[in-house]
Formats: sequence, C-alpha cells, structure tokens
Amino acid sequence: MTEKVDLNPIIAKILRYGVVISSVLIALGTALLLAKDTPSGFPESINQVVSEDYGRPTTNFHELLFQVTNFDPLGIITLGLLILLATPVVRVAASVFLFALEKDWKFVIFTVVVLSILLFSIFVVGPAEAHAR
Amino acid sequence: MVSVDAYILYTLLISVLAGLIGSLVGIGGGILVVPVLTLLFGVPIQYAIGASIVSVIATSSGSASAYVRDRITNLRVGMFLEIATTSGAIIGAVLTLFLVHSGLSWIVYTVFGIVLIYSGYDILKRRNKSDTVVNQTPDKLSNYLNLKGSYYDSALKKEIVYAATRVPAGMGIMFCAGMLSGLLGIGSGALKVLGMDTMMKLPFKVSTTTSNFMIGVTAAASTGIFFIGGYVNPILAAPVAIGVVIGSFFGTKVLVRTRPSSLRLLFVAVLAVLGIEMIRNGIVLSHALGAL
Repeated sequence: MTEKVDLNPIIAKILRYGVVISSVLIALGTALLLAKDTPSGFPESINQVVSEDYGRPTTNFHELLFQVTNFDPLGIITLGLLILLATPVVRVAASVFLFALEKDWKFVIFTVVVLSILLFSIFVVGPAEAHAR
Repeated sequence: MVSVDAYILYTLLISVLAGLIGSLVGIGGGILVVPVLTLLFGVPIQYAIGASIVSVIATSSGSASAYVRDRITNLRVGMFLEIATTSGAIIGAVLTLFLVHSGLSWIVYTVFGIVLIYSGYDILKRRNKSDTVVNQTPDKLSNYLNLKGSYYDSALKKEIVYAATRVPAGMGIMFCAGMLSGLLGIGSGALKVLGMDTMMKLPFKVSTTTSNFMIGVTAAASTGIFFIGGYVNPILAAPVAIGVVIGSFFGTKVLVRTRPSSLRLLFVAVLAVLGIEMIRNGIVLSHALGAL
C-alpha cells in the first residue's frame, strides 16, 4: 500500500466538471431557444413536438458539430445532454485505470464489467431500440 | 395545447421546486417529473421517462462529487454493486419501451403510481438513522471482495468501522433497484439504501452516499437506451435537467439543515395525489384497451 493513489479527488472532479459543463450548455441552448426567432416549421405546441418528433437528437457526430458551431439551440442542448450521459461513463472508465494503478486486479475486472454493460446499452441496445421504432 | 415557450417556463419552474423539495426531504426530485409531464402536459410516458432519467444523472453526479470528497462514499461497494444495478437498468428500459409499443403503457402508469405512494409512505415512517446495526466483521465473500471500510462520523466524533454481509442478497435488491430505475426513469435511491443498510448492514451514511454515487451510473445505462433510441427530446428534457439541478443545488447547499415536518407532509400529500392520478390514468388506459 506504499504507492496508494487517492481515487476520491479525481473521481469527484470528473463528476463535478461533467455536470457543470453540461448544465451550462443545456442552459445556454434553452436561453437561445427562447430568445431566437423561431425558424419556419417550428412546432406551435408541445403536442406537435412529440407527434413530429421535432428536434430529435442526431447521432451523427459531424452533424452535431455543425449544429453547435452554428449556434443551433437544439444542437447545443443535445451536446449538453450527451456530455451528461458521458460523465458517468468517463467516471467508470477512469476507475478502471485508477484501480489498475492500485494493482487491485479484482476491481479492475469488476469495473471493466460495468463499463462493458454501459457501452453495450449505448452501442447495442440503444441502436436496436432506435431501429425498432 | 401548450406552446413550447410556456412548456419550457412552466417545466423549469416545477422542476426547480421538485429538485428543491426533493433534496430537502431526501428523495430525488426526478420522481415528480414523469407524473407532471404526463398528467399536466400530455407528454407520452416514454418521452417523459427519457427527460426524467437525464435529470437523475445530473443530480446524482452533482451531489455525489461532494460526498466522494468527504470520503464517506465507499467506491468499491458502489462499483461492485453497479454490476447489478446497470444490468437491471437495461432490462427495465427495454421492458418499458416494449410495454409502450405493445399498447400496454397502462402497466407503466400503474407501477409508477404504486411507487409514488410507497415513496410517500417510506418518507412518513423513515426511521432514525442510528437504528441500523452496523456489521463490523467481514464474512468470507465481503472479505474476498474487500467490501469493507471505515469513515469518521463527525456527529458521533468517532471512526466507524464496517464490513458488508449477505452480499448476494444485496446484489439481488440492487438488480431490482436498477430495473425500477430503467423502467420508470427514477433514481430509486430508497431501494438502493434498503439493500445496503438493511440487507448488507452497512452504516446508514455510507449507504445513502454510496447509493447516490451509484444512481448516476445506473441511470446512464438506461439513458443510453432512451437517448440513442430517440426518446430524450432536447426541448422536453432541457428545462427538466436545468430545473432539477438548480433546485437540488439550493436544497443541499443553502438549506442543508432545515427539514420542517410540515414540508415533509406536504410532499407526501403531493406524492399520494400524483400516485392516485397515475394509477387512475393506468386504469383508464387499460379500459380503453378492453373496449377495442
């Protein structure tokens, strides 16, 4: 235990920065959405948002980047939501390395299992549900 | 017909209140989001769940960072149990979408209503924090898995040493908690705490902080499905996420030591009313199904 790495501050930082950055982006996008003139075809009501699936997040990274650099409110909100989703995933990924630094191989395995479950949900189950709609 | 602007402003306001009262009473504000969006604004339940689960990640990660720094959270216990909660969350999310697409969303409404009413009951009868009998000697499994630790209790002014017991049963409860979280888009922290303090005999403080730590990762598993599946709409989800974050921030930072019982009773009443409404909605939907 001589070269014990302290996990706590690093993990606390990941969680805090992730939430702060995503909250700022979501708030900025929402403020822009309220302030900007609405583009033609913008839904009149919340029912229309749902029935038209308006603003459905793009899963194409280049398209998202284009939206964000053009200050598209919904693109900025989507980026914020994505960072929020990524925060726990990054936290788990960081834990894999931190447990490895502590040479706690049992927990490296457990953490890799959790990370795999998360990636499975995002890259396998999510697309399957999108396809099933 | 609610306009987009009105939806954003009302939802923002309601979510701030939900996050504020939620953190004062010690329950995630997310549990109010789905009933409000479905009953008040007519949002389809799968989209309401998608909006809610995002806010659950935000509040969990925000508050967990403070406790992780305080070193009360047991990272190993959390990481290990997350194997069960994330698997459960995937099953729950897939089950919800299956029910909705099969025209059985009344089941989701009804389960949600029952959980709301039970949460109210749980707040009312919540026992003293010192009631938990803390286990100190590790059994074979918790020793092998290193699920033990100690923390300095500032109220008792002493070091509390603890070790988990009945790990498999605890895992079972965690799987159920994860499933409920994915099914309804809530944190299901109460069930996680039950699994740790009642089943595994961990100290109450360790249970609550570790539960909070796990809620974010659990929610990420189902959010991945709802987000990529297209059920997290940015317009619907944004005011919820910001509102709940702002509300729970003030709830934990500013008003940390005020827990008036009248506020608790009010919250329990709100939970009961929303619970009954959700069940009523479920019954109406199931009858509509029978009439077809």
